[in-house]
Amino acid sequence: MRAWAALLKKDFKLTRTVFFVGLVINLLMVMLTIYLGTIAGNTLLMFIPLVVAVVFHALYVPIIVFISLRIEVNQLHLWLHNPQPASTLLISKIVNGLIMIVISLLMLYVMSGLLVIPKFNLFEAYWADTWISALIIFPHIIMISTAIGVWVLFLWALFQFVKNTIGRWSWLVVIGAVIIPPWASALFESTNLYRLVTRWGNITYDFPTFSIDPLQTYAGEYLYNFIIIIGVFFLTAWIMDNKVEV
Amino acid sequence: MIQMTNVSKKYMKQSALKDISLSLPIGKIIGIVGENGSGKSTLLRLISGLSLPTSGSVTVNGERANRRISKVVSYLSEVGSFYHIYTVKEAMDFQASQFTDFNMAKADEIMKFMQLEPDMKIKNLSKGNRGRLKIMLTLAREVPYLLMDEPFSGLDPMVRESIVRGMISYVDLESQTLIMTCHETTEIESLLDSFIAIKEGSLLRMADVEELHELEGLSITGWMKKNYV
Amino acid sequence: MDDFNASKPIYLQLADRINRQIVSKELKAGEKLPSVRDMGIKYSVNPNTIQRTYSELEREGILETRRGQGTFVTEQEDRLVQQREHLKHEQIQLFVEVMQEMGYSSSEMISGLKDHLDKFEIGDEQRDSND
Repeated sequence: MRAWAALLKKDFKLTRTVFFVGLVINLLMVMLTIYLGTIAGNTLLMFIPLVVAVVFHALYVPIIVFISLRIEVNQLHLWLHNPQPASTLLISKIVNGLIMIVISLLMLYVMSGLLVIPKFNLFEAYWADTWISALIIFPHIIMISTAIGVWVLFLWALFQFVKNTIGRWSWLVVIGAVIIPPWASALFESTNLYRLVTRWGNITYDFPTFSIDPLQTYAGEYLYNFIIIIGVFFLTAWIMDNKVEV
Repeated sequence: MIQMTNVSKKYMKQSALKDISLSLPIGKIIGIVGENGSGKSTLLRLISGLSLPTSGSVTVNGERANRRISKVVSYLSEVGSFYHIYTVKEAMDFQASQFTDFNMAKADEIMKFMQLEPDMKIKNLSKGNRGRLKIMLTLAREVPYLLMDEPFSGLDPMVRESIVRGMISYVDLESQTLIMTCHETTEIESLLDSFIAIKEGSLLRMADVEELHELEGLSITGWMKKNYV
Repeated sequence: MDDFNASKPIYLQLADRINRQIVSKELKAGEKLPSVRDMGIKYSVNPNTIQRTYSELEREGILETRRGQGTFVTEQEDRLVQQREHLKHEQIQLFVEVMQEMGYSSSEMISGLKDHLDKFEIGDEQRDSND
């Protein structure tokens, strides 16, 4: 536990500059929102910068993970010459990204809340749906971001593995690894087997005051995606323990 | 015991090491010598498990070497120093958190011996001090095998001498073996028990240094001059 | 860093140094020698080599290892006197061999040595003051 806490602390320190820059960008987005509010008057359009900022958080964990790996790769032996299993080293990077994204999103939510209060009249008609959707988007952004973060770890490890064996064509392998899994996944998702496996645990997101159809998902789909990410994660750890070289 | 059996290493089509077999016991200070690019560093990295053989096997205490062999091997790289975010003391704390065999009291002692200050920031250290820091972090681990890649490279003679003294003081030859690659052997000849000479990726010779003195009347440098033409 | 000659094992060169220190009374009978490690640090020499030097001198009866206490110069004065003679003969033999090789006769060597000592007045005088 001591080893893991120290790793997490190190990973935080390696990426804290990016983290603080992110918080400053959040602040700028809030200021832009206030500015739009003063020039555009009472329209919901003023909240567009905040929505954009929240949506862009889907890329938050992958960016943090990528920057962290970029720093490690300069002195790769420091990271790899460590008796902990690769899964421990990798989970620390993901958890670090998670902590940062949660803080960053919370900051945006709190500030959005403060901005919404004086403009409450704009939301009054669909208030219930607004805060419920906000509540649902929050964990989903985090889940999507974490999943992409794990994929970044995988692509990085794959690149490190192939660069010593096939050299300058390694980037082709990485591009293949970016394109093929979503494609294969889309193929699989159109099969009856997929429906059979995932269509249980019906969840409906219904926002009657928004003029959209209810969103239909299944607990099975969440589990399916979760299992895939866990699989990719452990495959990455295996590559790092057995194939990556300094 | 470190055991290499018919080890070859290729990078793409480039051969770095060819069919190397050797075994290294506990209780020695061993130098790996050879020209630049002869494969010295590759040999050391294969033992550390940070590189993997293309064919053949490398075992340390009977276990196949991969990166997790670091539990019995302490490795010093020629490149880099340590995470720039840390001070000297923080780097020591970090090592102690990752390696249960990291002896903090010993690290403190070596730190003082090497004239490092705990509050120095690593990113501000001079080249000589970075070299000393790496040595301190590597030597303070109580592991059977200490591997150092060019520990003296780019350091001035005063620093080199203090590092030689540090090695003699802090390597416990009852329970440890120190293996280092070295480009220049004149200054450390009296430090070495034996040497491994690599030429163009092949093992040219492995012998006791004193045997070379006694039987052939040569220093390692003298012997190398005759055999690397 | 101390320089050693490549043509002779370092452990024997160190044994020579210790022998000379004993004969010149720099190291006295019964005196404790530095530990293997401290000696290694002093000369920048591998402790295994120092251990070999100590073992060699122990075998010759010049040094003694006392369990748990360290390594000492032997207290057997007769052995040290014998060693003193031995080193003297060794040096003289070396000198004579070189001179003979160059074709000097025995009487030339004796008279040359005598002249040399007279001229520089070294040797006995200094030796006496040391005792």
